[in-house]
Amino acid sequence: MVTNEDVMQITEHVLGTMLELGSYADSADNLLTDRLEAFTGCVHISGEWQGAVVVQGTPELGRLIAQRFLQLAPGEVSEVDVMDSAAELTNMIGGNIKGLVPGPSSLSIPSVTIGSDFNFRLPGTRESAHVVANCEGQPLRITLCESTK
Amino acid sequence: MRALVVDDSRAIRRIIGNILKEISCDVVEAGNGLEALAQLETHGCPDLILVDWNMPEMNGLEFVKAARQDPRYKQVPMMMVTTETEMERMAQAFIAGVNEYLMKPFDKSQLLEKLTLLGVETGV
Repeated sequence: MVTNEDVMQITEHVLGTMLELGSYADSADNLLTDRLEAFTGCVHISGEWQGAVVVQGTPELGRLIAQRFLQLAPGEVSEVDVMDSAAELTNMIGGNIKGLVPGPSSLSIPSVTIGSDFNFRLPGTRESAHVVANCEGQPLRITLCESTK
Repeated sequence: MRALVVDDSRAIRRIIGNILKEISCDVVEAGNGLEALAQLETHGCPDLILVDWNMPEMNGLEFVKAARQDPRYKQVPMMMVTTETEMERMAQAFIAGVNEYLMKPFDKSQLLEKLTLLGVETGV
């Protein structure tokens, strides 16, 4: 079983190693996903264990991640840069979580949405872990959804 | 020295590419295994190939198997750079023909260390 602590440890590892960004578990979930340009990344795990990993962050964090991944100046970051970077962040967090669930299983290509005018749900799943990391003052929410079938 | 970097993530291609350029390596990029095979045909055999596992069209494992079946690419050092962390996956990659395996996330020193193991002069 993957715990919130496992998810947080993986998140800290990914942000710290790949992007040199500090983070810590935040007790408050103050991420407002109705904000324009917030990002939502999702990657599915299929096989012995079935489910998905959802990664959501603020526009500010999206731009910061893009700056670090693509080595851009703050003013150079485009929406496509944020989407590509959020996809890779989702992929890395999801891939490392996949290593903790019963295998064999495979990881899907990540999908990313930017914006606020949408509803997001994963039918047939239940939330099995949920953490909010505070990364450079910005919330990053990671949710592990496990298939109920 | 010339390297082929195969990853569907532009972010990862940028990070790896910048590190390789710092050690005076020319970089050719591909976004999946099929594109990588096309790059090999166009540019010839590179000195080094770094390849992701999970990609659309043709994944990294399929690419490694296809490339290793071609006598022209039997000897080129290949490294899998992936989020696949299970030992079974690693074993599959080595059986298919990779010479090194690096798990994401990684930092610059870890990548340079693996490149050194492949015989690349990194200054480490």
